[in-house]
Amino acid sequence: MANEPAPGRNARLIVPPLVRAGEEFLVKLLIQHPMETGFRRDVNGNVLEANLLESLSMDFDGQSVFTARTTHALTANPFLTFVVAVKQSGSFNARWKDALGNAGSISASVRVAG
Amino acid sequence: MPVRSALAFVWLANLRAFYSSLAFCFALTCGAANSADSTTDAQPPISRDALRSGTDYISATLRAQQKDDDLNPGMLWVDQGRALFERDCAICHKTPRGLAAAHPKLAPDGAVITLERAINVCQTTRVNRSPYAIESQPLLALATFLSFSSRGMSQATPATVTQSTSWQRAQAEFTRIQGKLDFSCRSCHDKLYGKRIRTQTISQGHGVGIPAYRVEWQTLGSLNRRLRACYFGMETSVPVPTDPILAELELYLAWRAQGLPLEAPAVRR
Repeated sequence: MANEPAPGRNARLIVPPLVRAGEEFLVKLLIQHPMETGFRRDVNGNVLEANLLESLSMDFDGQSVFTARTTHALTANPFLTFVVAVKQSGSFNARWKDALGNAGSISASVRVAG
Repeated sequence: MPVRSALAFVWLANLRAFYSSLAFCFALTCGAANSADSTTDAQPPISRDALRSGTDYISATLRAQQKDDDLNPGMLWVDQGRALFERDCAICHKTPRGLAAAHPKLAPDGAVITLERAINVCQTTRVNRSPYAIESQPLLALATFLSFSSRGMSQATPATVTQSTSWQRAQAEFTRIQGKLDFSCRSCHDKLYGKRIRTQTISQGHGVGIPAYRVEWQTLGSLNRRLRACYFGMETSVPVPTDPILAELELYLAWRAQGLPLEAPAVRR
């Protein structure tokens, strides 16, 4: 039985494609991650290894705009939003790393009108 | 005197035989009529006007999360399913739309082919790879993407489906009282929908939003898994995922929800 991870992205970063300079808008980030707390057991009674996101940060063209401390209180497949305003076109890059060392990233670009 | 009483006895015995044969004939005709009802003229238990998707019975917060694709965590599986479809399936299937609406369907041998089973048939015969494990990430992703692509369509179940053994077995299972709590699927989902059981509103039990992201599971799951969770909730023995009754129930549910648009990936508590 094949049980490979599905190809394609394991996160969604959603920004409006076109904004006005200085206008506030919402950035939405959804990451596919089990956020396993280490407190649960599987059907055979074995403890599921803890695996939480340990760092999560986002920058806009190299300038840090958002960081989060992600602990066991956060749900699986965390969804995070924040409000930001930019002066010129550029791209948001999100980066995260979990306790098992798996790193992920996603970027999305936003264009400033006029 | 003894002659008269003997005659009376014979007369009475004849009468009894007459009435019992009458009752027998009556039962026979009624039985025939009943079985005709349940095979050819069977109508879904909830009329088309009264059909409501499970989305109508969840909290406003969850509903908002489901309706907005930016917020819906099930869209992660849709994205991955799309990538898989473009890699493996697009060679034969020009469009993903309509494939999920055509399932579950009956195979020529009378077995039920669910969407997941159809994917695995393609996987082994066309893509020439090993089948996906039940409830594995790529299988869920493909099933979710295909269901998402058939959004707004209704599952097509031919009227003749009610004559199949699979449908009849599923109907018997749906109406069978079982488990410690002493009720059937029908007790709640045909009769008590809209009422509350503890903190939850009872839905009509349709599968049109599934594969769905379930908060309780903290992940997305198939209708097969959801049905097994139903058995668990009814405190009865839970069938294994490959049990044919689960596929047959999927067929029965699709027939029962005729006219309701597909809306996967739904978000449920």
